[in-house]
Amino acid sequence: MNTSVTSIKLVLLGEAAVGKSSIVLRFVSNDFAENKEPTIGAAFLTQRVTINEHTVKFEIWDTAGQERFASLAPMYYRNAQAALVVYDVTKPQSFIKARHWVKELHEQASKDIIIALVGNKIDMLQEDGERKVAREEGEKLAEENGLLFFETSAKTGENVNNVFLGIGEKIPLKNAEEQNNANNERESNNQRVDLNAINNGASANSGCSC
Amino acid sequence: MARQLFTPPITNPRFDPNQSIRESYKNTTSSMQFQPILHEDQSGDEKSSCDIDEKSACSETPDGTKSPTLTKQEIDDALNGVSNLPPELSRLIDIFIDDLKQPKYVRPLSVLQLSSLFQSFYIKFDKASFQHVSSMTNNGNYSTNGSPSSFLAAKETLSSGLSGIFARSRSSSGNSIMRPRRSSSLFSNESTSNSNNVTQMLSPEEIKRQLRINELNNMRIEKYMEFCERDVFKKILIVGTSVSSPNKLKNFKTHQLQTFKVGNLFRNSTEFTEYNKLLNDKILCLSKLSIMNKINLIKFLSLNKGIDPEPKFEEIKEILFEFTYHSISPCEKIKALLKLHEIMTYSQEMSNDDYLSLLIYYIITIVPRDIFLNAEFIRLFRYKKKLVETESFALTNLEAALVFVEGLTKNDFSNEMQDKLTESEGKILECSISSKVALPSNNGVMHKTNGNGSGNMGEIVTPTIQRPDVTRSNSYDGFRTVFDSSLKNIIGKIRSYTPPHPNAVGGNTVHNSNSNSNNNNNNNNNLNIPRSSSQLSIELINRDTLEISRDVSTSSSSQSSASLERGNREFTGDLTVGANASVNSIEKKELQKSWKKYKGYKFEDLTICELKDLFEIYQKMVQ
Repeated sequence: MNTSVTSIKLVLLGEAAVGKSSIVLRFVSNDFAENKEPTIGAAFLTQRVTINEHTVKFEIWDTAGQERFASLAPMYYRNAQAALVVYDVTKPQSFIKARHWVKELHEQASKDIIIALVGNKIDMLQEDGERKVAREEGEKLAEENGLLFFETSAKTGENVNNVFLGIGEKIPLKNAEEQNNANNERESNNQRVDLNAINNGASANSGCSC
Repeated sequence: MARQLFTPPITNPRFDPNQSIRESYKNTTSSMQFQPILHEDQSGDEKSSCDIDEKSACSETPDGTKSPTLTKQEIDDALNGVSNLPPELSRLIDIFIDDLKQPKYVRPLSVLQLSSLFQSFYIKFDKASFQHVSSMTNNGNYSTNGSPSSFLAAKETLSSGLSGIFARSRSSSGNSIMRPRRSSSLFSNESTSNSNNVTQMLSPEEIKRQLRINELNNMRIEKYMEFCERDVFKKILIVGTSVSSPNKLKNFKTHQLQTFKVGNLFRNSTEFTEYNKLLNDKILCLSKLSIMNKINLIKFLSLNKGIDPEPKFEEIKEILFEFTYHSISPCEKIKALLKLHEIMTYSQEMSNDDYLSLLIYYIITIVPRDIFLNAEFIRLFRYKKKLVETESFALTNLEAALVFVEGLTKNDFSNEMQDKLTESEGKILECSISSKVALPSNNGVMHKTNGNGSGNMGEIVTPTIQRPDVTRSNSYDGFRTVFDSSLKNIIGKIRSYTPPHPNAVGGNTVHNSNSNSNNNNNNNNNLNIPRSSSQLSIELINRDTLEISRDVSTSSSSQSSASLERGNREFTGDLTVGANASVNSIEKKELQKSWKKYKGYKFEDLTICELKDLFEIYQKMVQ
């Protein structure tokens, strides 16, 4: 029985108004509006998911989508184990921006960061909205860059949970033995996957990977 | 093992053994499931994330069964008594501060090195707290519900099972200090009766009780860590980071003792102070432009989307001032920062575009002085293990807001506004601060680095921080070469917080000579003017003269000590040393001349007078 909880820092990237916060709010408050873990509006949220024998705790960091704040994003995705790059299927411009984010993440984020490309607002396609980004385009970009790909609707909740479950499954969870050792190094049942362990020598030495 | 457990982990305060057993014997239905996390509503303003554990403890299991967790009342009962550190832990802080002020470093420590020392100390303190709390628990002092103190020892015979988990549940590290793992049946009162390998099972009540104790212990340790940060910096505040005259402390007014100048810790890291100064200037400049309506901040930051920052202005101002001026420890400061975010939360749907814009708006309109140093202070001196989740996010937000402000140039505003700028305003808004000052990055992060690798500041300390915690005993040798001998310009010259001895400086210099440093000061131990007191006491009197002392202290150590040495001599007017030296050297020269006078002579050729002369030279040489 493995009862550990692995914390995953997940960062949201995407143009303003593509529905980043909505996706997360839907994910977090889907069935559990009672969640009272400390949050900061929709900018910082947590949610636990049990995947196989592991409990994964997502720490979700929102980033400002406005173009003027784009240069600040590295401060947020630093040490992130996962990223959601969101675009609006009805706005081609947002897909171009998503391409940029993917490129930037590959260049500057943690080497093994897990990226999910998410085309949001598919509900609008049924409401007279016109699709401007073909599903194939998204799939192609994801395939070329080794990303997970989903099309979602934060409004209806369609596919939202699958995004996070998909990421949770891909996170390299340590095996039980490693976790036991790690537990000696960390407080309580709250572990973090440290993709930057090598770069983060000082903290690692101190037995603290946060 | 195919069975799933949907109850929280046993180390989790919401663990319910009944549910666990029930579910363990159920057939597996799915391999993935969302796990609801239910918490009781928080009361009052206890929303800071410093108390995450406390919060999660206030919970009930979804099915309404009473969980083995703690009620608010129990937590209050247990923690209200804890208002100060126990003496044995408090002593650790004294030792740490004492250790810091030992003059074992030739070069003043940079703030990054200092931070590393603090982090090492926190880790040690954490371990010590755990040991302390464990020992208290094992002694029965903290046992709840009147359970006998033998309970733990008696029941923890499941050494590889529950007790192992319990022991791990609070384990921040433990590489140097052996923790008293409560798993040893060897020391159990009932170990003898268990010789037939009959393992005593814990009843659900006992598990609950154990988890309660465990959880309370964790809370106590959390509390101790908070007190630790608070007390360390309070003590630094009392003893100061500089060496003014020993009696100065008596003249401090109360308000001075309550105001901690974060800048003092950054004194030896000029990049930070320079960056901070430029940022202060820039924020002030932007604030003036906003007041004079040269720029419309609300429009500029796109804040007019239903969020009006004005109604909460006073509240935010108060908390920002609390953050920068009235709080001392990093823990208090981060709490203020979280409170700030809480106040800024107009609705639970607010995205980070809103938070960031609001934060920038308030920073520019309120102009909290030294906000950059305060942010860095938290980053460097908050116990890293606790700087996670909301704390880490809130701090990143603040840093991002500051990076945004430092990067603002006049080109970001309209042409119309650019034309209205005065010469000085134009100069301040000419370029980003990071293009002028490159900050030494800690693990290469938090700031936009100057594209130009060498930077304007010349050699900046490498980002790798050496962690001197390994062998930081009383022997200096391991570190002498790394940090060298004197913390003099910073903590190393902290005045003793025990009643200062008038000859404290003399004492320090003795240490210096012991550590075989290159400090020229050693040559003049009898000059009773502390090398840096004159320089640093200025700062105590007037904060704004920071630059003066900084300029002095940032020149290379040997240079500054040499120049100060000269300064001291001139100041005392002590010319006798020099005069004596010159007389001696003349005599020496004459002597050399005289003994060489008979170089080519043979003994047979010497007259009595010459022999007498030679004897006199010999006498002089002997002398």
